[in-house]
Amino acid sequence: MNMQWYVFALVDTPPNGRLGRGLKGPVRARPIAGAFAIVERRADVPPAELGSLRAHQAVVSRLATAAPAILPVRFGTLMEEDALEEALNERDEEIAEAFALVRHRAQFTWRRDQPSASRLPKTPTASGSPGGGAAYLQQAAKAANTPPPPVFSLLRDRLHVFVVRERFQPATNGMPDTLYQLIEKTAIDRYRAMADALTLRTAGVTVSGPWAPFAFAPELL
Amino acid sequence: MKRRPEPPRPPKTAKPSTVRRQRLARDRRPPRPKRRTAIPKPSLRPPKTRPRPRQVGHIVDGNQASVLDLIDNLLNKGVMLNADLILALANVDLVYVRLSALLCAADRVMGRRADATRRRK
Repeated sequence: MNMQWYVFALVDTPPNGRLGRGLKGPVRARPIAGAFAIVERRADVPPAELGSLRAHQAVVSRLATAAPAILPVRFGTLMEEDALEEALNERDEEIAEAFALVRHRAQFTWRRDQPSASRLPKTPTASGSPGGGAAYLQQAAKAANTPPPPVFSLLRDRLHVFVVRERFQPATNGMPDTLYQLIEKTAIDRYRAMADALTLRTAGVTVSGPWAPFAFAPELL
Repeated sequence: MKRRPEPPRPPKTAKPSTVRRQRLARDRRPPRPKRRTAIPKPSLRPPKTRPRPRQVGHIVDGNQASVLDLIDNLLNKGVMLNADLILALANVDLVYVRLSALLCAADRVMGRRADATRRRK
């Protein structure tokens, strides 16, 4: 059977010692393009089931606490070694830039619990397609440029001292309005204390974290 | 010193008694007194009303990843499609096509394209 590499993340410095187990087998660090790809030997893409997702998340979370900078890779990335090197080689600068942004930093995720139907951006449907793929993409991009809802304004005002970078993702059919904030790991305790107080004052929002910087990692693979 | 004679034992073939020894009245404990219910004293002050906890958001620890977090973090970035296509005629492989495609949200693709254009300028 043709074995390939299942990629969890890229790290700038691999943690000392064993990297533990991944989905089934041992996790290894492969040096590529000035970084280290955290991989596991696999023959096939794991099914998108809760167990696999949890196992993948566990590996990334473990690495995120041990490595200074981590760029998580999307679930289900299975590549041959040549393809992996081809995808990452000659992108040293881009990778170094991405590492610099997330080094010693963590992500917190704010969600609005119940987005009202009026705020949901109109997702183009196949039946109501205004005509062609270009129009579909234009409409989707327009929906993506929706400004953050007012409920996030208070959070942003109070937390801006901690925030290094933030990204707003408007609600889609399946996901609520989401605000991702990247903060220094040294400020996690103070941030959480403030976030806790804010959640008591602001109804209808939920915050989770700290996470690996999923929302701030570029699409490298 | 005289030994007291042992009480007579039932024969070995006898069946064990099904009658249980009842506790004597002196063994029984007196019933516990019922708890008194506190009667609120009349007061001139208006009663303090504790504010009801509001239905607010909560902070979730990173270790307790919800399904929403899992989907958002791991799947919401896009889906990688890999396919191998072999066109064959009479058991002879003629064309081999390897397809790798990334399906993801338009804003992410367009955002990257916009960044690349800005860099070129």
